Amino acid sequence: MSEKVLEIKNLSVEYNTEIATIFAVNGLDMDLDAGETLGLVGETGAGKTTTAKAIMRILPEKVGEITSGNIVVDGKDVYAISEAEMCNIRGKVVSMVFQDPMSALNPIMTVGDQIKEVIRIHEKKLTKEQIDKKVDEMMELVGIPANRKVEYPHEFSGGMKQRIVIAIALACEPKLILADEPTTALDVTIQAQMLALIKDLQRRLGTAMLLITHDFGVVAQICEKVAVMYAGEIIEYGPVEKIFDHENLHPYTIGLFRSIPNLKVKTARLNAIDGMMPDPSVKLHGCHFAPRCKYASERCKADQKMIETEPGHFIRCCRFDKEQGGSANE
Amino acid sequence: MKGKQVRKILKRVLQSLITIVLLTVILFLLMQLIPGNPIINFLGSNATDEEIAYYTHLYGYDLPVWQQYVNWIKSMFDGTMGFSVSLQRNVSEIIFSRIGVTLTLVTWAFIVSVILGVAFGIIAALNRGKAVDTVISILSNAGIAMPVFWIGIILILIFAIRLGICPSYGYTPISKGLGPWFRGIVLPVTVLSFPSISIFARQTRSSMLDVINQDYVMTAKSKGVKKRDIIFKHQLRNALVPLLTIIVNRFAQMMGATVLTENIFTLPGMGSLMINSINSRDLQLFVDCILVIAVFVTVANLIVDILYGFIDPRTKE
Repeated sequence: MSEKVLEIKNLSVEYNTEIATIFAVNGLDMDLDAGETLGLVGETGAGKTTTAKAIMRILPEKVGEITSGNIVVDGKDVYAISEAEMCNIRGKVVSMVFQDPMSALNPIMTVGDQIKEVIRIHEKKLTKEQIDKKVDEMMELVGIPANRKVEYPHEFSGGMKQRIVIAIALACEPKLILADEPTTALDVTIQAQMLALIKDLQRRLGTAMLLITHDFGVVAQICEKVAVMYAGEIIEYGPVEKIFDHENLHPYTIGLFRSIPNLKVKTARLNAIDGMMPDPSVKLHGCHFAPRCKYASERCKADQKMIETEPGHFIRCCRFDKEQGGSANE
Repeated sequence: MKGKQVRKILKRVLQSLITIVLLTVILFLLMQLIPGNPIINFLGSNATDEEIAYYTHLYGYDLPVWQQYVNWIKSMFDGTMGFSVSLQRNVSEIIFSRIGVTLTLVTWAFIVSVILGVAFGIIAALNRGKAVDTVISILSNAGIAMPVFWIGIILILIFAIRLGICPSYGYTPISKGLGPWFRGIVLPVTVLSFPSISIFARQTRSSMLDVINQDYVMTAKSKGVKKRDIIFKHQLRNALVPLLTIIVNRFAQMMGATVLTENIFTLPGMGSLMINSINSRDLQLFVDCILVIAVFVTVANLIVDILYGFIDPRTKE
């Protein structure tokens, strides 16, 4: 058993807005080993970004509330330490790459200063010259000439901005990166470059990564494990090859795969999953997917457990529960 | 890059100069349109036609309009700025003796309102929805709604008449001691800065709320930046970009609002000078006062435009 960099137990997050309480994450468990890459997949509103923000402890103040569970990053319980201690963890032990590079950089600071800022906070022993050298190294590492560090974000293209965001995230060689749809805002050719860059740097630095995405192609390319999230829960978890063999999956995951257009066959319409995501302001019981599931039965009204269908592959669906007479495996 | 910036600044300076030249034309035409004659006002109603004709000729009011304009412009360069009929002195001497009071008043009121207004705005934004925010909002609405002369009268009533700490009128130069100077200036500065503090507080609050949840603030947080640095380095600096224009426009408005304040406290500044010049139909003096204030406003705007180049790199190109 290798060292765990991330352990989430029974995490629930609520947003208390004036209009309603939103149950964004409901009893989520997740582990990540050192150096491992986990793809967190799910549609918009499933609670992926909320999970990442909860790990960083940057949920919107007063609105976002952890109602149960705990998060341990590199042996430290994130919600049991002071804000000052948390500042030492953010950027140093765990860092985050945001979705939209266009707005993720401060428009009135040079990119060099923005990389420098994170190094200066966490590497207090370095001299000024060493910090400057480190900034240059990081720029070169992500493929941008170091002499451009005096320029401002608006002087770079979207892809280059994302490279800088990645340079900031990796500058202090964190043990864990949370990448929140790092390629969604980029066009396809740049996406491929960016994924190759992330994967390469991750291997070199031995960083674990939680990759949030709704793109199965990206997951197949760089992840070792996949977690599928639906309505605030992980409903399927397993090694990437087990999920991508398309056998014995959660009905929702099957639906997700079916909705990917096949380039070899002429399709008039995409195969969508019938129905809508449940209203997140209603506390759900039983299987969250049941209302849209064609296999739904009386048993789905009970709360669902994660069932290990084969070593390392978990599914939150009673059809796989042999003790209860599940039938999906036969 | 550097040369480009210098050229841009020079262009802006040139634009400002053109603005001032156009302004002199407009002001001069205005002077011709305003009814009333400084000579008649100066001589009084008993003056004979010969006396009026004599003085009209003496002060050059009988020349063709274009020549009067040329003489006025010339007087800018020889340093007299024309002759004030009512006060019988060169305008430049009069303005020089008065402008110190106005500049002291406006500068201090400006500094006080920027510091307090921005501070209140930040506090309100960071405590959005809490009691502090509500109190600041109510006070700043009240500050905008209350007329300056009313605040002035109330302050005089409390601090000058009831408590007797401050004089109710007049100006004590700083050369007579810091204490007396401060007591004399504190009420006018308060009155003049009251609406500006309110406006700055409101604008800073909304500008801060705009940037408070921007993605780059999230990035800064996830880098481990401490809360204080996030507020000042990331949020406030970005919030200042739209604020700068409002702040400097306010400086221009304060140069105008000083007329009221100076009259409430009978301070010998530009404001009361302007009122006097209108009452005595001394149009030469009046337009010169306006021109001086306009030059200050133009220069202030010029400084902002140049500052923007440093504060917001996106405006450089």
